[in-house]
Amino acid sequence: MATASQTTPIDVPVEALEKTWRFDVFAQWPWLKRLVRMRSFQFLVILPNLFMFYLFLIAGLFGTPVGNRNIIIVFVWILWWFVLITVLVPLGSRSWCTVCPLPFFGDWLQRRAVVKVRPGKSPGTANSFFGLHKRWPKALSNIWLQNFGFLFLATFSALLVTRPIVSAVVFGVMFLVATGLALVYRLRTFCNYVCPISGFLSLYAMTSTVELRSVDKDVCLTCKTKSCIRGSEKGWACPWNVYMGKLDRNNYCGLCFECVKSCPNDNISLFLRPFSNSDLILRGYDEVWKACIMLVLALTYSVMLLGPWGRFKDWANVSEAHDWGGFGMFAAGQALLALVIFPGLYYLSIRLAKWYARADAVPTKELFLKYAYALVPMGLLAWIAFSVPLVMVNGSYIISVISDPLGWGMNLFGTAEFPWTPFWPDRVPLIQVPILLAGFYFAQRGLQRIARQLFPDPLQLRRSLVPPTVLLLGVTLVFLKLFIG
Amino acid sequence: MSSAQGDPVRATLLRAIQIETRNAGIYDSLAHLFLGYDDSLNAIFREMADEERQHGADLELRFRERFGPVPSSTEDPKEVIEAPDLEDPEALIFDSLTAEQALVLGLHAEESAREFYRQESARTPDPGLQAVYKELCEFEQGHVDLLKAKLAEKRRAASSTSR
Amino acid sequence: MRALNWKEATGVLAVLLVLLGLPLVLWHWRVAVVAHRYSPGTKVITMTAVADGGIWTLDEVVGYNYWRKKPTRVNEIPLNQGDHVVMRLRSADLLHSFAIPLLHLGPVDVPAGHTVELEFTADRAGVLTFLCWQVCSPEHPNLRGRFIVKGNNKEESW
Repeated sequence: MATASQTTPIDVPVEALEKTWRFDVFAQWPWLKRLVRMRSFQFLVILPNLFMFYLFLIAGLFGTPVGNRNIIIVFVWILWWFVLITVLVPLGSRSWCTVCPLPFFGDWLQRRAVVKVRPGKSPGTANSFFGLHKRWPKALSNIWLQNFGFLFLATFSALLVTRPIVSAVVFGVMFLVATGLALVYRLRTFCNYVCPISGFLSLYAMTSTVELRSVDKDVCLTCKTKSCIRGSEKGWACPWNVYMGKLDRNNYCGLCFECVKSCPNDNISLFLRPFSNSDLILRGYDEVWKACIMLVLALTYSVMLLGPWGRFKDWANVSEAHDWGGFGMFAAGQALLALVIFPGLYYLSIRLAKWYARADAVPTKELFLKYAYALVPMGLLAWIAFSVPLVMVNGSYIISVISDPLGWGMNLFGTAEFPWTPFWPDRVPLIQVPILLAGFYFAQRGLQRIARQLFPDPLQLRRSLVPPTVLLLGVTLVFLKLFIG
Repeated sequence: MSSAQGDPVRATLLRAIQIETRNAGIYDSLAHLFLGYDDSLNAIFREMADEERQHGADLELRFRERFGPVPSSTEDPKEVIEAPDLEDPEALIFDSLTAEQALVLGLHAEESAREFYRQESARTPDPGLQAVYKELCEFEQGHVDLLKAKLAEKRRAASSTSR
Repeated sequence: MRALNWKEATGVLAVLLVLLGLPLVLWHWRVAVVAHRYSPGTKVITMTAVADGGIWTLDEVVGYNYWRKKPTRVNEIPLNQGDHVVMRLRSADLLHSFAIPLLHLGPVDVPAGHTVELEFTADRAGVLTFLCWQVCSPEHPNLRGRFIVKGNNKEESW
């Protein structure tokens, strides 16, 4: 019997929800398909990021310790974070993973190539890989490590997002771990199971407006080579271990486009689709807890970084305030809220839903997993609402830091002394409120679509939605209270 | 021996051979996918590939008896009956395919093929073709029985170790 | 195949260019570009204010060492009479300021993370006190030091 610590794939079938509109991008714009099929495509899009990542590491180590004058803090925690959560994820799924420099050297060492493909017979693939190519331990084949990793980083976020050296060390360690794991384990083990960023990208990519899928699943059914996942002489085995023939959600597709290159039937395409309308299934407790953790962290980050309570800021900012007792309370409180209290509240809402709807025929586990989708758009839009003031208030630092990235006294573009200029700070709540309400709307819409699959009886359906809706409403009100008072 | 290229019985037998050959190839790919990753799944898929190849060889024998040499064909059959596939696209990410599920995967493929031939044999007015479909249906039934036996054996072994 | 090998080689070269080129460019900027901004013979002094301990230091205060160790306090800076001096002033943490009262120089703000330049000529021998003019931290009174200007004419001195 699966233990609570393991991913527990649900025994219920993954229903095909009613077909939604989608637009075949590659069919409409073949030049884009030709572009991603180029062997050098990935390298060309990663190289600029590699340069930036290197610059960030140098800046973190050898640049000014003042956060708002150092490119690693300003570009990563203001610009990149905002673009990632507000644009890249909702509109581009895991497109950050397409250009991420962290696994670059690991891939290079495994493949012994930056561009070309090596056909071969490394275990399970039709390519030749260097390294031990071990299988990641089954007990860790889930996203629990990513859940705890992100929570750990979030506990020290006051340091992480303000101290250049802390950011540099964290990214440096992640880079070294990614490279080391690539030499020991197969494919992109780091990205699949360890990277904290990958953890939340996997969750929120479910809402995205793009998807990479097979065009005709019957073609995949009869495909003898399964080159998408095994690789071929034209493309590497899927670094994410995803089988395109049945792929029905974005979570673990890193948009590297190797399958587009390797598919012998030219049967893979990029599609546009409506926001938060397609991937509605969470498959294990690890994913549910991820949704809970991210929603709670959106709240605690808002309290800590945007709120008026100096005491909480001091508790989090232990390296300067030196209030270790307060930091302990903050860390323990955040962890308790994210891992126990909020999931407990959600579980309670599910139990109430079952009772109120007299839904004895639906297993609690099924309802718990399926209704958890509502936390995904809710969490994403809460994070967007949190990120908006970050860039509106602090975005002007980007202008000064591009001229003096290391705080050494450069003035490359003449903007080094551009003053701090908050942009429309008084209008921030006007932007946050509709975003939060949109999160509630999409959460509700997701719930209703899922409920229609579970409850043919309209009365049961409506009753089953009441308790989770009350919970979501409560969460929305808490955020609204925090943002607009 | 009938030599008519347009003979529906001949075409049906040829199609069935192509399907078995294709499926053997698919099982080979699935076996290789788990090579070095999960030896028990690799073994199961390899065994199923061997069964399909044997199945194809048996059908080729029948074809040779009736129509002479089997023409070589590089065309893949377009039908999707009896095509085994991973049901879970994330099986290799989360290590979530069990040996039992792999056997169920093959069983579903064989059952769908048996059902297809059974329906075709009931539908077709041609007595010759009907006989062929019935024969194929029996072939598939044999395969279904074999997989069910393997599945029962797996489940018995699993329940005995869990006590 | 040949085309791919060329692409492969170009890719590797590009990566090496990034790995080696970026530090070289930055080093070049510090050593060559900065130095050539000033007329020959100019004494360029880069000094950083650190609130913790109230320290003016000539050490490079950067990400990897700011939290790890206390920089070396500079109490006295030797100059020669007639030296043209460019001070490149930095703050590692807070808003500091800088002044040389005897020269009526400053106070100029030295915001955190910024580099502020100040020029003067030590045209007389003697002692010139410099200090932080802005109450920046509890250690503010310690943020002071002296230029010791070694003269060639004792009558012209501070």
